[in-house]
Amino acid sequence: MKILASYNIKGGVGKTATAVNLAYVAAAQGARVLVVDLDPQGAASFYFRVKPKVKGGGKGLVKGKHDLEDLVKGTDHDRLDLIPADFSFRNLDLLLDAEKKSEKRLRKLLRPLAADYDICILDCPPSVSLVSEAVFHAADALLVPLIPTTLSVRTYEQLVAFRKDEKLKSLKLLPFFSMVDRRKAMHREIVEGFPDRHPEVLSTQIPYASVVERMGVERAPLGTFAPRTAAAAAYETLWADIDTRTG
Amino acid sequence: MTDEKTSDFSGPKTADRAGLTPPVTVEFAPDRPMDLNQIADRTRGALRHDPATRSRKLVRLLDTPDQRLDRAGLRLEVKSPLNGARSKTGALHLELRDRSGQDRASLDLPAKAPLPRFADDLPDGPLLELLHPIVEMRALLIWATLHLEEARTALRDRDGKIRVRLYQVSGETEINGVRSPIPVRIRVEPLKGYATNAGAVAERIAREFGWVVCHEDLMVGLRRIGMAAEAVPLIGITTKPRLASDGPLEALDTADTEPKVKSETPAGPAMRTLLGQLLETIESRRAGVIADVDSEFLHEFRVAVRRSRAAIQQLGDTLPEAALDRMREGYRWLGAATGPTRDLDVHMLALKAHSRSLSPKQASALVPLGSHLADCKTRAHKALIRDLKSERYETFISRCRTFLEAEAPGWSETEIKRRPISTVVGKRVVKIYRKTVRQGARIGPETEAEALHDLRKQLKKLRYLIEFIKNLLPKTDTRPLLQKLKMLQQVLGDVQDLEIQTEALHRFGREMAEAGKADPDTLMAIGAWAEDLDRKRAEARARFAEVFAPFAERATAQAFRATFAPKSRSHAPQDGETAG
Ligand SMILES: Nc1ncnc2c1ncn2[C@@H]1O[C@H](COP(=O)(O)OP(=O)(O)OP(=O)(O)O)[C@@H](O)[C@H]1O
Ligand SMILES: [Mg+2]
Repeated sequence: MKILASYNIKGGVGKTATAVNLAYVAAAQGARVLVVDLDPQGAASFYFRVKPKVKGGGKGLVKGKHDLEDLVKGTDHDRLDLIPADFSFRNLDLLLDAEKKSEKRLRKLLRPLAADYDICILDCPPSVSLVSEAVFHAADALLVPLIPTTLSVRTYEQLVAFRKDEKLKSLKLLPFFSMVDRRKAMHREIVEGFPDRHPEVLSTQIPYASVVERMGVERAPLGTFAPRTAAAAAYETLWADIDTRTG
Repeated sequence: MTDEKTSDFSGPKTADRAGLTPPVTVEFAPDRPMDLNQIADRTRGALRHDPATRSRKLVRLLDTPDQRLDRAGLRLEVKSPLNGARSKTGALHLELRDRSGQDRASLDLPAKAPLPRFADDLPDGPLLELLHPIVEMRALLIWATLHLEEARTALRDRDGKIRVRLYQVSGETEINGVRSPIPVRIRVEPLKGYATNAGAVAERIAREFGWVVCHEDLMVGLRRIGMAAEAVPLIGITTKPRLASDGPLEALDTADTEPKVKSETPAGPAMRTLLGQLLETIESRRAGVIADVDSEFLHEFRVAVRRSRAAIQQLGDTLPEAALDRMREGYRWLGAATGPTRDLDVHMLALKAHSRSLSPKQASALVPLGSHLADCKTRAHKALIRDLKSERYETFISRCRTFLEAEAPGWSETEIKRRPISTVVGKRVVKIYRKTVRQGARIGPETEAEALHDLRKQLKKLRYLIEFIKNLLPKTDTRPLLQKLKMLQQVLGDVQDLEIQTEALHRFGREMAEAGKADPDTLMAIGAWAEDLDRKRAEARARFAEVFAPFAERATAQAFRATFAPKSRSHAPQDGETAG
């Protein structure tokens, strides 16, 4: 099972849109996919119309009290399942802090599901926290959506530096641009200049498109209600990129 | 709003009582088709349902000729939608499911793509990874086609989330051209994490309509239908239709001793039965060899031929001499006639396996070799078809049959005088075992390969003899001995086969170069492969002492004696047959 985390310290950059749409694309192509909604806001769960409720809450989860399998909910899409968020995931940081070797905990927790899924996508909350560290240790790669602004680029560089510090050598960083508006000069400049310093950047860009916002109304991935739009196509190409890069 | 608390489903106890066990799909057998909307409406509880949609589907079920998927508890379905509207974008959908209906892996192919014939025709991915170790070199054949009429609907909660799926399925099966109706089924399919909803719906269906739950697995049902229709076997290949409940189809190397033969059966009649079974194996594989379904048909054909030869050679004196010469000659001919094609099959399989271990670029250098082998194979196969369809073949088989089935009192009387099969074969086993131990003991690290090849030949005889009577002896006794023997055979097999394969590669390279069919890249790739094989051969050669020791050690020798020629059974030492 390949574990990918949709991650950025910054909020509102398209992490959840990425997790949801990529999961849909991968499942539609035949992979067995599990989305884990780690964000207490439960946006990913919302898009899949699943109630963000976990029996026993985050506390039970981190202690490994119940089998993670029991928390899995089938979405309306073939081969695509979800572990919903719970509001008590808010306590996840605290709980992880109290656990020994807490940063390895999430990885261990997911292990029993490895045989049932080909791909696991973690939708992360926007924060620097213990959850982040647990995610870094659990994931094979971080998918990092970046809005083309100087601030975004700087936070990405912090992430690169952090990864070096923490000796997370096996963790791949896969940044890509999201909400790109080609009409904006700054967007164009940053998108064009970025690969020189960060050749790891994925070549696919997700355009700014109102149809992505409509996901909140439809409560479904793009592929189900707007399959022939540029944004849906972009997520498909993005998935192909990621799939090759993570072998 | 229906969820765990508000639904009128009263808990798992009730579900158990009704025999409805979520999270597994539950199926009902109504007496006639009904409007699915009506069913949904009467059983949805607080959920609401989508208007039912109908579609027609063509589902083809694939399995290997020896039903490996079925034996592994799997079924491979190829679905194609038949709705005119959807056929434009419609793709072939391959799905591997287990007995509980759970989707294990799937794949979409373009609608016009040919069906995969071998597992390794599939693109890389989960389906290939799951299938290949099971299917190996066997062909995937369509053994049943389902023409399905499906109505489906989804029951949703207030958020519009699907909680339960409902289907009504009916249609026809087509197994080897025989069409039979599939009785109507209503299927309640839970979504993971929402089993309670499905349980509640299933229970309401049982209560409202009084339909019975059907527990029969789809595959079992299909096989039953297939048998009732007296389906002719897969593309004319005689494999008996089986029920899934029959258990695994016996592999060739265990299927030979029929229950008809007992330990105390006199050797003569036992031999006739044995040779008769081998003859039927040969005959049953013939159509598959001619059609070149996959390489296993020919392989098994040849194994049966070799065993027959070994049986005649070792135990011929239990049978009247008259017919033996003809049989010897016939089997020798069949062995020789099938050799070239089998050799090419082996080279082609090895090339496939080798190419998988290479990078795409390296593998592409070997493509011309593949075409060369395919050309050679086509020629060899044509000649083989001529032989297998010849008068000579027909005459040989029918004469063998007459001879083996004959109830001629004259010679069956002489046979009856013979001792029990297990004693006769058992003594031979011990005798050959001792011979091989002496032979092997003379082999040192520097001994010529020829000596190892000779030993291999003797070990093959030993193996066949053991296989003849294996089923008459306790498995716990024979298994450890066979294991040691097989290990040794494996190493000696590698020593010889890799040598032959290396030589063959050099020969192919020469042939291709002379015919201008190979550029330097290809020749280099062939050379590199040959070197690789030679290294593996040397490794195998170096392992000889290590695998010979456990085979030859005292404890093994004792076990051979105790298993195959126990004192209690050799009650007639004066009858001339000594185990020395
Ligand atoms: N490519 C896009 N074009 C237009 N709007 C987008 C695009 N991607 C995301 N959005 C919108 O931007 C908002 C934030 O997106 P999203 O929730 O995916 O980001 P996030 O990084 O997960 O946010 P958070 O940090 O709050 O979890 C949403 O309203 C979403 O609909
Ligand atoms: Mg989010």
